[in-house]
Amino acid sequence: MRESTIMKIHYGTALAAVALVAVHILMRLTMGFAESLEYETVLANYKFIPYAVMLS
Amino acid sequence: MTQDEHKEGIKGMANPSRYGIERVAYWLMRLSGLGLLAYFVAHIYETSNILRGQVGWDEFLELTQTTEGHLFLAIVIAMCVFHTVNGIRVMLGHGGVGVGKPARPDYPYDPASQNYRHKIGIYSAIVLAAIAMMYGLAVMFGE
Repeated sequence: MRESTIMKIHYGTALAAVALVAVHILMRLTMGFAESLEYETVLANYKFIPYAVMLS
Repeated sequence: MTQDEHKEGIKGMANPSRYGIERVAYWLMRLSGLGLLAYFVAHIYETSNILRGQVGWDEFLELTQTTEGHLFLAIVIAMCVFHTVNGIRVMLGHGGVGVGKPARPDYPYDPASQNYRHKIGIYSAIVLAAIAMMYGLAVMFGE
C-alpha cells in the first residue's frame, strides 16, 4: 500500500475519532456531571440505539 | 552538532530541554498518545461495570469518583486536547501548510518548517490543553 494511502487512513480515522469524542463529550454536557454518571442515565445511553452504535 | 552531542547518542536526541519547543511537542505527542491509549482501555473496562447492575456500578463509581480520580481525569482531558490540536498541526504541516516555500539550504541551515507559525501552533495546543483541564476541574469539583 502506498504511504500516502496509509497516511490518509491514519488522518481520516483520527479526525473521525475527534468528531465522535466531541459528540460523546457534548452528550455528557447536556446534564450535570454527577447525573451523567448515574446508573439509569448510563443505561439509557446504551438503550438509545443511534448513540450506542456511535459509541461502538 | 558538536562532538559531545554525538557521544550522548539517543539520549542526546531525546533530550526535551534541547532543540526547542518542537522536541518538547515530540515528547508530549507520544506520551499523550500512549496515555490516551491506556485510558481508552481502562475506560472500556470501567464502563463494562454497568453489566454488574446498579450495585456493581455504584461500587465502581466509589473507586473512580474521588479527588484522585478527578485529577487523573483532568490530566486525561489535557492529554486529549493537546493530542488533538498538535495532531491537526502535524497533519497541516504534512500537507505543506505553514512550512514555508522550498529554498536553497544556506548557513545556519534553519529548517524552514520549524517556523513561528508552527511554534504558535504548539504553544496554542499547550494553552488550550491547560484551559480545558481547568474547565474539567471546575465541572468535576463544582458539584
